[in-house]
Amino acid sequence: MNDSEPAPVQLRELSIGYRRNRPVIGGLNVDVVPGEVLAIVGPNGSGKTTLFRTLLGVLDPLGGEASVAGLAPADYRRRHGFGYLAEDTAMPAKWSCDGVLTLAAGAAGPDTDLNNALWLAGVDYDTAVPTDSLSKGMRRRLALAVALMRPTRLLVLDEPESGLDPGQRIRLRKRIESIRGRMTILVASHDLGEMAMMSDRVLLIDQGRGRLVEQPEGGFTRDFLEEEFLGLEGAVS
Amino acid sequence: MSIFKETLRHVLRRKWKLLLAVSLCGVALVAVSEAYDVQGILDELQGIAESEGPPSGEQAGTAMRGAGVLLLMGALGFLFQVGTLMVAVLMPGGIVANERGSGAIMLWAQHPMSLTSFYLHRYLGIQGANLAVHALFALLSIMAVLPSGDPATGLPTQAVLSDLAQFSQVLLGGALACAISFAITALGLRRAAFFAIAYVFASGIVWGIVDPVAGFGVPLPEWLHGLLPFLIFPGNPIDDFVAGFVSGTDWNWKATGMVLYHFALWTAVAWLGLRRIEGKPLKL
Repeated sequence: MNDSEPAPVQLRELSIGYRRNRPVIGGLNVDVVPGEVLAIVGPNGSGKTTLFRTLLGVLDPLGGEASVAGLAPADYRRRHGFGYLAEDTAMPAKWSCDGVLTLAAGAAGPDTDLNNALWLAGVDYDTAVPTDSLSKGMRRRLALAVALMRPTRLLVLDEPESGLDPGQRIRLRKRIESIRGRMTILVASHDLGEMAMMSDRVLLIDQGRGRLVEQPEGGFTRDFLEEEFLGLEGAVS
Repeated sequence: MSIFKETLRHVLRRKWKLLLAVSLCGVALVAVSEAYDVQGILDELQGIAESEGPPSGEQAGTAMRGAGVLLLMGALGFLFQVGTLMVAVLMPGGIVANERGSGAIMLWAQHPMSLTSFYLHRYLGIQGANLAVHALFALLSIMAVLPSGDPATGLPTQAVLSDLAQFSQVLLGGALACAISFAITALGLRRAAFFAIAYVFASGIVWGIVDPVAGFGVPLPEWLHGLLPFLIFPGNPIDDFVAGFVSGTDWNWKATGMVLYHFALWTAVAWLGLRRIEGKPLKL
């Protein structure tokens, strides 16, 4: 497999969490196909961000195995890097947007395509301003540009629509559609309508368990996902 | 633009108010030392103190004025010295610990460049800015203390060598204080500047207590006395190193080794801290 192909992700009996005796999710088995868009849906606190942290190699699994393109996530991160949009997009204090982009481009290496990343992320505002002065939505778009500034094989988006206005949400979905197939995309979201339009499969997480939902004939719809979501114990409790 | 250049530019832009304040203290110190004959005032005060009988009204006035000038110079000198130290320890701005704590570190950690290398590049930018401003501070401190050079011959004089020593002292002290502050933040500890200042001041106090020449000379066990220079901020070794360095003949290898040891120690601490954070970028 070369460096430009989308990365497969494998989870085998994966158990994750912050304390050994209290796993957030246990026994997770998933094969994410290269180039797939996998939506991860679950109630608040169900472990979506914890799963992402494990896949990014910043949190060790409590049990089982996680691999990205055949490598342990931490090794994969150091060797190839990810595209990652965190749920809480923190920016370094007192830096300008231009400064953040320059530093990130330095870390991203020679393959950086900043203009393309700014376009994909919808950063259409003046980047000479300090990050502290940005709205939440603008900050998230800047963080997305950082995630997309180099060709990545795995893109991890944690609630990308959070803080975006409806127009930006639609634009973001369309732009993700435009890069579909070029990378494997894992996206956690509470916007079931957007997830229905975007994803190939859905991983429902609840009460420490995960269940893969295949696309029904005719594709996902918002109603279909709502029904699945309301069937989760954590969603109605 | 590279990480180094961007960081250097950012630090200078971000800290300009502090740099300006410290520079103004330095300029004021220079102005006062140029406006008054400090050595003359000291001689006058000594003369009044040694004179027999109560001082005359004129002598009392001279003494008051002289004491005022010395007090002003002392205050400015203290502010300037503390200011230069503050600049050195505040330059790193707790970058590693703060970005790790807030989660902003993931902006860089998602890319293939190792975090150790990334933060060391930024540290070089910070240290570059720090050395540049300390060179300015060092020039101001030279101007404030001694009229240098021999205008008649243009040859290096003892005053020029003394200036060079002072310049090197300010530069080395500033560079090491900056390295210490960076090493502390690289360990993931917040308030690195505070800890760095506390370390430098505590070192000065310890040295003042145990040094038989300049301090109280409180006796310590031999082994502890031998160990202390390896643990505390090397203010005295920097002075000794610079004295040897400017003399050109009496190179002080012991002091050179001690100064190099402290730079190596804090660089190693920073590197180890960054290696640890490489594996666990987020504080979970």
